[in-house]
Order: sequence, then structure tokens, then C-alpha cells
Amino acid sequence: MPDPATDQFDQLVAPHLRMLLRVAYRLVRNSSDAQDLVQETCIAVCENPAGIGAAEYPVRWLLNVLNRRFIDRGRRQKRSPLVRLEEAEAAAPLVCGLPGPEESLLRLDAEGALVRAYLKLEDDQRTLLVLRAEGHDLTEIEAITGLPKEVLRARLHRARRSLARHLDELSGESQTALRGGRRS
Amino acid sequence: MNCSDIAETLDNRIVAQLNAAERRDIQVHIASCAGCARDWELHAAFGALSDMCEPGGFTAECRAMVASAANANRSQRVRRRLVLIGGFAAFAAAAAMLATTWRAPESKPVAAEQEPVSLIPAGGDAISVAAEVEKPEPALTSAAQVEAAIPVPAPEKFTVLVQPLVNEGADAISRASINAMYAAVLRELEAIPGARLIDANAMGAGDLTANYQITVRGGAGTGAGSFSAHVTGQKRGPDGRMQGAAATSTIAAPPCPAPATSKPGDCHSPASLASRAIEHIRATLFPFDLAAQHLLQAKLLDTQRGLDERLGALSVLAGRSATAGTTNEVFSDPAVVRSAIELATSHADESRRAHVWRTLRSVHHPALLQPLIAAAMQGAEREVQQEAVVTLAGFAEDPRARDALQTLARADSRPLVRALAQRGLSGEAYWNQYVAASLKDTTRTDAERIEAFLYHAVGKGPSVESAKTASPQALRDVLDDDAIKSLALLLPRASAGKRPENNRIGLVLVNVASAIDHPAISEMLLENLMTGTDGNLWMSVAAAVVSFRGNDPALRATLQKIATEDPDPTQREAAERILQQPERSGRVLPGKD
Repeated sequence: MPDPATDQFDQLVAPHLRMLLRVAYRLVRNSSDAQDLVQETCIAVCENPAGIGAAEYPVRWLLNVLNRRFIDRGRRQKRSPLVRLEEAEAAAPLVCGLPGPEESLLRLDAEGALVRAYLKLEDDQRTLLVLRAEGHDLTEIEAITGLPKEVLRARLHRARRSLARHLDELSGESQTALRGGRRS
Repeated sequence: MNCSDIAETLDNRIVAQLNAAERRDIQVHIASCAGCARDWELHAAFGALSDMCEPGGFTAECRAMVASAANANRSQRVRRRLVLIGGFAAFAAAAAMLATTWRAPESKPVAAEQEPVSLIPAGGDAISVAAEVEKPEPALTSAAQVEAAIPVPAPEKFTVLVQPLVNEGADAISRASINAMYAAVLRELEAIPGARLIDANAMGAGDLTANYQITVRGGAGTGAGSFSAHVTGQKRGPDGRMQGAAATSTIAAPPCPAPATSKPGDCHSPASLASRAIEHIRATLFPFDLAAQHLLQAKLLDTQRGLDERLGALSVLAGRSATAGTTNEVFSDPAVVRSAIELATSHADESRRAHVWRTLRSVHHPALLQPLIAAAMQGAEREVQQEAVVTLAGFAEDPRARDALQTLARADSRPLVRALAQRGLSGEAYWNQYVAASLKDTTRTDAERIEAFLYHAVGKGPSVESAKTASPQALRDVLDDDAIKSLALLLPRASAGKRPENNRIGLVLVNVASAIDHPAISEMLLENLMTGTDGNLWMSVAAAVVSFRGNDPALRATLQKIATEDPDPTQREAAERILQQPERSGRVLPGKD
């Protein structure tokens, strides 16, 4: 017997699932969290199919729902005493202070450093950088986030500055740790 | 280029879509500005961060989650309803007790008021009643159940190396249109399930193995603001060499008139042209798998989408299933057929409605029969009628279709419709004879003489670039010597004019002139090269002829003369270009002498 909810999923969400998963992963940089985020988005959309059904641009609608879920998760995590593993690793130096070979490689890995710097950004800054990386222009981002273009320009600028600053800080930490490692 | 321009580019543009000049300007600026260089580098690095692969069965998992959440919601709703029923029952029971103690025991009306309570069986609790009131479907709990519920495999993954745009537009407007079309090509490619794009300009792209390659080359059109373009896809071997035939979509875009005066079908946006080009490449080149098929079906059924978008999905679905030999399977779904009929009957543009019937040519679902007969029997919409007649011929075994075809063959007012209906009844031999005979019939008007041949040579698509030209063999099958001579007389007369129909005749000219090596065709070409009213059209025909049978000394001499003596510098340049182009091999067809 056909189920309206799964029919809605097939028609409204499934065609965009790959894109949603890619954006979610870019937002959270963690496979499990990305899958959870997408599943929450699917459920939210299918509970209110009229919204996306009436939307002129279904992709923007989906991204709007995804983004709201992402921001909500961030707020919940801030209220929670639990700290995400990646954030804990990025924020706190290793207890021994002497990185092993694997950790040294990770710290030297440019992508790893960029991801760590990115994870230090505010959630709304992450959203903007990810939507730009996905190729959305300001008009589309305005429609997805509800923020006016001038605000978006300013926040994008600040997001890039913050990303560069965090990256420089991490690079400095890495150099210090490596120098410390060699000395010992 | 200054810092604001860089910021604007980073905020609002897609770097992969910048043209060579813009890239150069940016490189010049960031070479001297450390801040912008850092922003640029970070933007590129962030965009290039690795993505996660979709885990196997993720779609099924999401679907199961949605089903499970919906069931949970239904149960909650039922529980809420039961609380109400239970509350009402308790209230009614209390009322009954009160009535029993307060009123005489034989009182009947109270029993009637208690009727709702009787819904709850003796000793039953609220939840057990829920099962009676509404039985929620069980949630999919096992992987096997999920797989059974959604037999859609993940799309086949493949990589596409996208070469940078070659933009040789003649003016700023056409160059901008070509840029916009290229951007739309990238978006279309990115939206294809399973496709992963590789920018050929990206660092290390040369080391990656790509399954396919896409090139887009835009050039001058026939006038200011117009452009032409070739979007070509080809399969690549593991060694990077091209394999098999290329799938090329040639676009000839006239300048669009102002929106207020534009008519559907006359003017296409760069995005719609790109969409059609990629549809063609998807239909003929890229992998066809069930996942892509389901996505296309979902797009076709989605009534929230525009009719053109759904029509595009139908075209790709029909094209891909025909290539894969799965047409009957794909169109066995009544919902898909219903959607196609809806498009064929409700689209505002007649040529689009006709295109739907053409698209359904190899589909034999019984639900199509009555709408097809209705479309074929009406005479007001000529294009819809003739396409419906040809598609109806596929049902000729059915007595109702046969009756309709016989009526049309006997009594329709248009010779072409009568001939197409008779073709459905008698077969291709009749049709080939009819095409040749009508070309030679001097008692008819030019238009009547050539219309069957035009229909045979170029099946009209929703736009010129999607028209299907007949193979050289198909031309050869219908043309004898006298028919070729008649054609050489009729084609130049039919092609004179600026109507959209003339573009189609231009395609026929190119096809005929390059495929048929006959003195009458050569004479026609030479004469019109020197004196024809539409120099661009005849130059295109000459280019095709040189390309496919460039050893014609008379044609080369004529082109040489134009290249040196023509007063129009554009024509001189065009002739020079044609003379320099390499000769291809292959499609020469001698006339039947």
C-alpha cells in the first residue's frame, strides 16, 4: 500500500538527497552528523510537504530547512555540557604535548588544518562559506537564510577573516608543537 | 580589477565559470595584493575540500526514517483521538451512571446516547481500540525490508572532464550569452546523478582518469547578438584517448527579441539551450541506470514543476529508454503515461504538444489510444495532428486506430496528413514513393511538393537544434534522379525567408548538399553561393560540403573567388576559413543515376 510520506520523500526530497548530504557534510565535516542532519531534514520536509510543494525553488527550500536544523543542533550542543570530539581536539592541546608521528602528519596536512580552522567558526559563518562553496550567489543565499545581501557580504567577509586567523593560529600551534617534539 | 572586484567575485561568482580574461585580471591583482591572494587561496582550498561519498543504502535509510516518523505521528494522532474518545466514553459512562441512579432503569434514550461507548469492546483498552480505528503500517525495520521497499540502486558513478570554454562570440552580447550557456551547461552536468565533474584547468586534473569529456565551443551566429555553439561529449579510455562517436549538440541561437514580443518556440534562453544540449548527451552517451530513470520519472510526475521542465524529463526518459531498449518497461507505469498525456493536452505551445506525441512514438500503452485518436482527428492544430497520426500508426493493429487512420487517409483536407495516415496503413514503401512523387509533381505548389520531403528529412523537434535529421541512407531511399533534380530547384526557393521554418530548411540543405554528390545539387550550391540572397546560409552549406566531400574542384574555385573578390569582408573571411578546414571522411552518397 503506498504511503503518502514516502511518496512525498520520493518526489520532493530523494532527487536532491545527494546535494543535501554534500552540503550537510560540508557544514559539519563529520559523516555521521551529516547523515543525521539530512535525515532530520527529510523528516521535517515530509511532515510539511505543502511548504516545499509551493516553493518556487525546491532546492532553496530544502537548504533553508537543512540550515535551520544545523543552527538548532549548534544551539543544542552549546547548551549541552558535552563537547564535540573534533572541537575538543582542535581547541585543547594533547595532554602529553608531544605529537606522535600520525598526529604530526595530521597537523601538517593542509586539509586537516583547514577543517580544524573551519570548525572553529560560528555556525552562521560556516553556513555562508558552505553555500558559497556550493556555488550559490548572494540572491540565492538571501533566499535560503533570510538575511539581506549587505549583511551577507559583511558576514562573508568576517567569515573569511576568521577562517584565515584560525588557520594562522593552528599553523603557529603546529609549528610550536613540532619544534617542541624535536627538542625532546 | 581591484579588491572590491575580487570580493564581489568571491561573494557572487562561480570561479569555474570565469572566462580567460577575467582569470587573467584576477591573477594580475592577487599577484600584488596579499590580502586578496589569501582570500582567493582560502576560497579555492575550502571549495576543494574532500566531500563524503553517499553511503550505500542511504536513500533507503532516509525513506525508512520518513516512513517510521510518519507512522509514529499517525500513532500519536490516533492516541490523541483515543484520548478524546476515551474521555467522551468516560464522560458518557459517568452520565449513564448518573442517569441510572437518577432516572428509571428502563429509560431508553440514555442507551442511545451511550452508543459511542459501544465502540470499545468489553475489557478493551484504548490502545487495542487504536488498532481497530486505524492500523498504521508497520515501520520498515530490517535492511531486507528497506531493500524490498525501494528497489532503486545507487546511480552509477562516473567522472566528466570539463574543458574550459572556448568563447569566440563576435560581439559582447553573444559572448555574454555563450558564457551564460556554459555556466548553465556546468549546472546541468552537476545535477546529473552519479556525475562528478573535473575542471580541466584544476591543478592535477591531467592526472585524474575521467570517463567522459565535455567541450563547449561558442562562436559567431548569423547576426549581431546571435551565437552558435557546439556542446560535445565523448567517452574517454583509461589512457585518456577518446573512444567511440562523439555526441554533439549544435546550437544556433538567433538574438532574442524583447520579451514582450517573443513567442514561445522562437526564442530560447542560453540556459534552455544548454539544458537541451546536455539532455542530448545524457540520452546518447552517459550511463543509463535505474536510479536516473526513477529521478526522471519523479521529475515528470512532479506537478509543482513547470511544464517545460517536465517535458524535458519526458524527452530524456524516452531517449534514454529507447537507447537502452527499455521503453516498454519505463512506460508501463500508468502514472508516467498519464503525465505524458497531460503534457500533450495541456501545454500552451502547440509545437511542444506535438513534441510529446513524437516522443511517445515507440510507446504502446493502451491509455494512449483515445487521446491519440482525438489529437489525430482534430484538424485545427496541424503540427499536433501530423505527429499524433504518425504515433497512432504504432497502434495500427487496433481496430479503433485503424478506423481512424483509414478515415484520415481518405478524407483529411491536408495531403501530408493523408499520406502519413496511409503510411501507417501501408508501410514505408508507400511513403518513399509518395515523397519522390510529390517532389516531381509539377501540378502542386512548391510548398505541397516539398513538405513530405522536409518531414522525411528533418523530423521537427521543439527547437531547431533538437530536430532529428534523416541519415544519408534514408535520403537515398526516397530520391531518384528526377527527384534530386526537383529538390535542387525547390530547396533554394523554400529556404528564402526569415521565418523559423527556414532554419529547418537550412538544416535540410546542409544534409542534402553534403550527403548527395549529384551534379544538380552542386550546380544549385554554386549558383546560390554567388547570387543567393542569404549569404550566411549558403556559406554554411558550402562548409558542410567541403567538410564531407571537399574534392569538388568547382566548389573550391568558387570559394577561392569569394575569398579574394567578394565585396563583403565577412563573406571573404568565411570563404577563406572554409578553404582551410580539413576534410572529413565518410558520408558521401552518389545520386542514383
